[in-house]
Amino acid sequence: MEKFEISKATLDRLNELAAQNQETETRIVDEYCNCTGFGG
Amino acid sequence: MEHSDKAQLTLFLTNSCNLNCVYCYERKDTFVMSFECATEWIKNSLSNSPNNYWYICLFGGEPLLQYPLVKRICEWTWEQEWHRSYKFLLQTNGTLMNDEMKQWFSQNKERIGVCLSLDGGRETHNKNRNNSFDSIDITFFRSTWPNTPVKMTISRHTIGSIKDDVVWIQEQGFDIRGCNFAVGEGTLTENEFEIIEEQLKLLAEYYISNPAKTMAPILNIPLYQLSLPLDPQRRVCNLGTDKLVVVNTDGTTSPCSYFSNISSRTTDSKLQEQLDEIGIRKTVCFNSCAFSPVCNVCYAENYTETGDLYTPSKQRCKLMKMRIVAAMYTMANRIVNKKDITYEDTLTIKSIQNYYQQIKTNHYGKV
Repeated sequence: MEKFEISKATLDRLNELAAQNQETETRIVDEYCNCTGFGG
Repeated sequence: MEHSDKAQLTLFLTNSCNLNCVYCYERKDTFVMSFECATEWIKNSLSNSPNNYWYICLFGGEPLLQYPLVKRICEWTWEQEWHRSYKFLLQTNGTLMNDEMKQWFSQNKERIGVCLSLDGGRETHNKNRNNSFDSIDITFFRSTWPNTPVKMTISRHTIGSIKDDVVWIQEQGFDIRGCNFAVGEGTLTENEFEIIEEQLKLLAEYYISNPAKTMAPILNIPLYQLSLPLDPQRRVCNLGTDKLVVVNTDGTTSPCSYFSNISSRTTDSKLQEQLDEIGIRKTVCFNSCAFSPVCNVCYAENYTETGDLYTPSKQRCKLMKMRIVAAMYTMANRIVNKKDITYEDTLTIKSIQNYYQQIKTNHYGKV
């Protein structure tokens, strides 16, 4: 897990960015295809 | 043009294949779909269906083994007037594309696209796919269909080069649509998990250093969805709906292309019962796992690994969570370097804030 350690500085910066962006009206369109397509 | 009611008709033109890939799950028999069968299903889809747009996927085996049939089906369809829009897609290993075929496909490239099975660079591809790399005219595919969709499969023989293979495929100008671990290869060892983790880390660092690059599906997980309300109607795929029709060589149908290969061979009555209600039930962990909104669990894969459609294998769950943590790491480090962040980024940050510590301390275990 330590391979994906997010530094404290990065987490702090994310908190700042989140606080600056409180937009609530935008709708997110789900275009994600969940089908794995299967390996093969 | 966006098509909100897109559907897919998959036609198994043949079960034969000229290759023998290490992870192949398909039955190898000599049955071939008849022209009449194929056109009847196309007529049915493009005339009577509530769906306004159809992808007609020509599948196999290797469909180019039946190139005259491919050509005849397409040309017949193009000559008709239809009330529905559609496009043909050919799922191919690319090795049989000769000059005659190249000419025909080039002439019709707007009307028939391809999805190429390509597992990486020469060494990787050859390990998985029968030493077939040099039989594929990469340049032809790339130049005929810019951003050719590619289906990349990772086997236990090729886990050690995931990063290089993903980068190589993307650098060729291909669009990796599927980046999946092979199914049915048995249990991965701890050492193999460590290799995969290491490769995901290398890939994550690559995408952090190259923020303009589109992330491959193995890391491009929609983390923002973790911060949206869980949709109880969410389907993990189109199984069991009228948006996915899979037709076998003999004209019978299957819930999906994978089940085409197991449902007709099994006498498992529980499977048959479960197939009847597929698309309605969720996996056993759907309501209890925080990561359900982004989990691309596959019913067919579940069945192969656990013998039950609704029980995901622990191994698959672990791989999914490893990918989620890697995606969190990648996106966190990408977002902090962006000049302008989007609403989607804001939701992604929220997801990381809410779930990163949780998934991290559980070591990919149950959350």
